[in-house]
Amino acid sequence: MLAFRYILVLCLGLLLTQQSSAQSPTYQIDGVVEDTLGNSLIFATVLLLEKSDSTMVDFTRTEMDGSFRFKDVPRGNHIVKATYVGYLPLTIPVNAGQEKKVNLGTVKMAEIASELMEVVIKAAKAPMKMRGDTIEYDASTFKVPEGSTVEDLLRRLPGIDIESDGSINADGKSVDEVTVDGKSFFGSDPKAATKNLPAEGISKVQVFDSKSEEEEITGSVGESETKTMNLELKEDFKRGGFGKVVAGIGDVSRKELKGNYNKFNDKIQFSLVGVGNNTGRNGLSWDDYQDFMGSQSWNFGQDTDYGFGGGGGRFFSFGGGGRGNSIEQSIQSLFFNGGQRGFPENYNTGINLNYDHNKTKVSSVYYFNQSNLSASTTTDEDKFYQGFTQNEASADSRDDKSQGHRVEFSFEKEIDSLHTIKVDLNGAFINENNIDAGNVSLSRDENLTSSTNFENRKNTSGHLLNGIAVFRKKFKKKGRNAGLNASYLTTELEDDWTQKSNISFFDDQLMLTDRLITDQDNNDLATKSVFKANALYVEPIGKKFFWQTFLNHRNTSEDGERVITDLVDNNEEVNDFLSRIYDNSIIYNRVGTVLRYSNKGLNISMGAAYQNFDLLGDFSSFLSGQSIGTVDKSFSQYIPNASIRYSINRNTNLSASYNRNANEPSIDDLQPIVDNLNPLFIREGNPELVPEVSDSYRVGLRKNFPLHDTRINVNLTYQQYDTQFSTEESVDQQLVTTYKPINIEGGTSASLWSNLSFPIKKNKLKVRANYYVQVNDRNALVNGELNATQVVSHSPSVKLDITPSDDFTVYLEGSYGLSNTEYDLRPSQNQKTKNIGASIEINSKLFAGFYFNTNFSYEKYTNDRFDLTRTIPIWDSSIYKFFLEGNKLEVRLSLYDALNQNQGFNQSAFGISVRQSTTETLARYAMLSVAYNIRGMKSSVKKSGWW
Amino acid sequence: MKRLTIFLLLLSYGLSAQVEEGSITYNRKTNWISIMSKLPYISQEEVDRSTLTWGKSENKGTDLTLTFKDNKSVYTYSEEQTANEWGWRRNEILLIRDYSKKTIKDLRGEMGVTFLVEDELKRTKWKILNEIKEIEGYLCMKAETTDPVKGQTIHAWFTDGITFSGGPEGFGGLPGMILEIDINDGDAVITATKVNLEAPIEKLPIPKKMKGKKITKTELDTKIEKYIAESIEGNKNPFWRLRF
Repeated sequence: MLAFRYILVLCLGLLLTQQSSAQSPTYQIDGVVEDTLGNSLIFATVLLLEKSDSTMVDFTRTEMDGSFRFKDVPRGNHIVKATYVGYLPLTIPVNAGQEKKVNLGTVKMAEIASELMEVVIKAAKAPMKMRGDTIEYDASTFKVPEGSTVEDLLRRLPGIDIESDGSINADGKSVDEVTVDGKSFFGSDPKAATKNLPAEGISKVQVFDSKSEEEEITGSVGESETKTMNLELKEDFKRGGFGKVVAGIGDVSRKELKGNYNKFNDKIQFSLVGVGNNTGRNGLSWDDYQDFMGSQSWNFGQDTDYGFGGGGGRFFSFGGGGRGNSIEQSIQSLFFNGGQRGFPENYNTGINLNYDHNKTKVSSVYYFNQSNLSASTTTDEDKFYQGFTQNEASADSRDDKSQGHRVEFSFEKEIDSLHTIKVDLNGAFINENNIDAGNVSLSRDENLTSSTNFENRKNTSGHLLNGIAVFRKKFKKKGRNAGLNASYLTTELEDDWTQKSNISFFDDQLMLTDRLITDQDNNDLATKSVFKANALYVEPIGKKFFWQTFLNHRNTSEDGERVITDLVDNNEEVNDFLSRIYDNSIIYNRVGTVLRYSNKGLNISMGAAYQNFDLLGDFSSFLSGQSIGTVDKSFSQYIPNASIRYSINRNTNLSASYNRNANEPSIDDLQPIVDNLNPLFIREGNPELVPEVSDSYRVGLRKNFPLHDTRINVNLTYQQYDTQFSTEESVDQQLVTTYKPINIEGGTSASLWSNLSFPIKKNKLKVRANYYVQVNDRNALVNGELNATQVVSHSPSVKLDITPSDDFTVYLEGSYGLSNTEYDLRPSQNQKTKNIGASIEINSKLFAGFYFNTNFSYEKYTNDRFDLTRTIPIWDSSIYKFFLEGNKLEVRLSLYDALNQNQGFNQSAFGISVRQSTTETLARYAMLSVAYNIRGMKSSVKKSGWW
Repeated sequence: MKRLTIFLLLLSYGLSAQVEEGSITYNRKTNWISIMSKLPYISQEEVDRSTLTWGKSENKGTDLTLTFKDNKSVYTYSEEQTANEWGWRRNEILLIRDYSKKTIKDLRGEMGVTFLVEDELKRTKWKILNEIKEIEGYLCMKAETTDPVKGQTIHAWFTDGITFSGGPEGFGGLPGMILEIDINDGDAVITATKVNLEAPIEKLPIPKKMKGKKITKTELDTKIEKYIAESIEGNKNPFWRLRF
């Protein structure tokens, strides 16, 4: 109340000191600032504000005698505000009226320390509020270190004292009760709450007079001796959630159901995803992936196989998991398994729970997938040998079913600012059933030489376990850091298959000369284990150089048995030639070092590594147990590496790199064993194989013009092989092919990839052009002769985005692919294949809330040498409408492949062979679908994209 | 009462010295999700998706330093880059304010172009609000202004404990140093993390050459306004290439 009196007195004083004078456009304000004892306050800040909206007009500081002056103040209603640290700020209204000069006289400022709490709060607007008898503190304005308790927070609050025993005093009175959100907290001891609750969960602290039970009942208020404190908890500030479900039903028994849901707050993310359909459209997008994985969607700098890359660089890896056989596939790669040919059926379901709080991250995922595919394919392949052409025509139908359960668990903790540990555990179980049946005809220069009927059934089951532990350490010295990790992976797979085939051989008069009937049972049991350990150390040299050293160790061992039983006249006989027990291991060690320079957008790195492979293999007969072959090889190489990346400015990036690659041969290829499982394709091992070694070079340029919405990107790569893995193929009169892996000198591959995007009319018409060129030279030994094949392919494409409004868009695309293949051995077989594609997509809002989408694509495949032309026009359309508030519901009627022309067609040329295949694929169907999105759907028909 | 006294004494530190030179390090944190959520073409689902995916990402912010002496200040990045990271180009930002001559000279990378803005220092219209808080031991008062070009409400926390009338991000003109700028309630917050008034400033870190496309503040504002409108029309976040 005291302060009000001060202000009142000052105001009165002000009125009295006003002098009368004639009206002038400006006036002057004078005054002197003193404390309550009459000492002038020197260098106090005095502000002149507009009375209406507190806009600052001017400010000044008091002189040595405490005086201040505002000259040439435009007429109007003003406020003079004096502030001096440790004193109550003072606000004085000034109304000049007709006066030319206004003297405020002596302005007395009161020291805060001597004032009552409530006065301070009222006058100084400290980060606390008064409401009745309640003082309320806004906890967010008082900073406490992470992990602090409420007690630590209370220590910072003005007016609150914590005694050494933890008891609380507020404004001199003891606090005898602490409540949380108005409810009492664990009995009567007020310290229980303040010592145990984390400060970060608190939004407000309120202190008020305790009421006795009598006061509660009667409502009478006496002078309270004690205070009560209430702690108001924070709302979880980042709470959210969304979900959607789509269900569709169509003719030719097409169905789809897809849904996802997630809920999250600042600590926990929970998500579910499920999709089932028989349309071949997986229906899961990047958005769905992100919605499912949440904060674990993208991992930066998590590559544990340390190498030449920057230790602190932002290396991006797409989820966890490895490649290799299907059991080693990651959940992430299963997410995008659409686009199959034939008649697929897919079911996926997953659940994910992430916890991320206080530098601890825990993630656990379960994912189930089942896919069934039935497909009938006809293939026609020509191979060009010296003197003759071999044609292989086959037709087969497959029926594949696979099921997998996968579990991923990950735990990461930042122990302190310098140390982080991470542990990942994965498990997978798979079961696959494949049936493949059909026939193959082999012809030599159009004369049938053999005809085969076959039926293979295979059943695979297995499991995987994988564990990895990572330790990362930063040192106090900036830039010095280290990483250490170890992992162990083990898989066990069992294959059971039966193989039935019936081969008829013909002579050039088409007379049957021989018949080979195979009826085999095959049982494979394979276990694999991989142990990896990696270490990395980075030492800064000055501010711009970094010296990085890395060690990699990997020990892969595979062992198992393959038992092949021939069924001859209903008797089972173990085929000792093909059955075997094996035990292989590959030990890989690498040590490398690299010096990096990094400054103002220029990054240069140069280094080298020395690597060694030890390959050990032992193959023995299943029946006798006697060794039938061993491999004991050791390879070492130096591999240099250099790269440069230069950001000339924010919009221009240049990069160039060189590296030498060495890949070890597989033990399978090295084993000195003949494999005639397929009597028409006999495979021999080659113990003489050495690693494949190549040098690769890359140059890239990227430039953006954000003001003009224009981008240009050019990349060149060149790879030259010292020695390349290839095959030695020999074909006999009966077209039985024997092949063997070999090393062959030479071989190059070069590519140019470029794109340009620019608007013709900003936001309305955009052009995106791509051009891709590839030149491949590849050597192989064919019937004892060296064949060099050169493939040159050009693929330009242009896209046009026409986006006049949110209600109407057109997307056009045209592409051209020309592939020119030249054979050294038989130039007469040189050929050109062409693929031409064009598509148009129109999206439009119609009338009465209806929307329309249509997409027509046309593809034409030609091969002049074979006089082949194939055209595939596909036309999809749909019409849809939104319902409910915020477009939460969508009903859509779609017609896919209206012209009923869809077929899975493919043509390719590789080495000495040219191949075309056609798979009968789901064609025309109509579907009615309903989608519900709890967050509503966008009605704009513009596609979103980065560029 | 004891607590209160200590609290206020703490705040009064640094008052008596009339500091006219020194350096202040600020940490600038940008909340991209919050910025994105205000763009008109973004749906709630997209905001939630970004929050879900990126909301927990660590944001260390960027350190910038304001060096001031002789009524002149320079504001730019604290160091070229942090140790052991690939060096990458940042948008140029070097803001020179001369409060005696009332001029500005800014080097700023905006919309992919490095501009050299030379103009007279225009007065910022500040409203003084009735709130106080403590930053780095200084008692600060709150002031408010708006940026109509970028559509921002800016809150500045300034202290009369440091009399220099400047601040970070080119803001100034208040009766004391600005120790915090808060744009649109947390979309971007620039807070002082280190105040050094002890070490004398020999020379302001003004580079000899400042190369950029010459432009006046008004011309740049016109360009920015057009760029924001175009980007939003094309459903692109303008602030990827524009200092928020």
